[in-house]
Amino acid sequence: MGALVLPLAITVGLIVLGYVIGTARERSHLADLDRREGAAASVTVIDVKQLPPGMQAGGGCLVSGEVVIAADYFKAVMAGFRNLIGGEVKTYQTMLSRARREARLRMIEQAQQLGSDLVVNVRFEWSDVGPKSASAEIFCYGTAITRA
Amino acid sequence: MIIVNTETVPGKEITAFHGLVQGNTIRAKHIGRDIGAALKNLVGGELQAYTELLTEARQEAMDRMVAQAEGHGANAIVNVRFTTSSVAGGAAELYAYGTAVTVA
Repeated sequence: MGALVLPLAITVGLIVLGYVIGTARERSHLADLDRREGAAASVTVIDVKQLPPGMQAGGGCLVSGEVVIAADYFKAVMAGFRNLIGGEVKTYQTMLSRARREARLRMIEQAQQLGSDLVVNVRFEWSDVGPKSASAEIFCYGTAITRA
Repeated sequence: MIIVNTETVPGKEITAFHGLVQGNTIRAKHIGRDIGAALKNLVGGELQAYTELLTEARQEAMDRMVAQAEGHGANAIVNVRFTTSSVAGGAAELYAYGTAVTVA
């Protein structure tokens, strides 16, 4: 019985640590995303290859953004429980949507540096290259169009 | 070198095709980065060391693709695609490919 107390205390401690710090970090990241998306609103991002009708393009340049994101311990444990009963894994849903928004923003910021306000043929890629535990790489790329 | 992932270079005309060009690289993370990432896994958030590693690796793959295109005498690469795959224990392969062309 006594041998179980310490591992249990560590697990609970990690869940609390993950929840407290992870939630605070998520909140500040979401606030940061909202602020930067406001600044990036002037750039049009589309996933078709054609230019808008009547637009005279002067050139194009590949732009991209990527991010590797990890779940906190609390999110991972909640996802573990969710696996038992099924349904939407909300904790991972918010994590991946944050990562996509971040990657998309980094791509837009690159386009802005080139003086472009249009990115066409945008593609998102996901890959599982991080450490063994729950983490994901999101890569977003497209062609930034400069006007003639 | 103009690099785009559209089928043509906007505002320019393709005058010659030089065939498929490609570049790849396989990168392993070092142990320090793995330990940092393991700690980050407790509190969540971006694994900056991994992001940097992948950005560098992708650049390397693109540089190799560009070098090939230059060898063909091309001045642009169109329809560029990327793939990432996870090979042998924690190493990642980054692959970039596209069609080398001459535009005017």
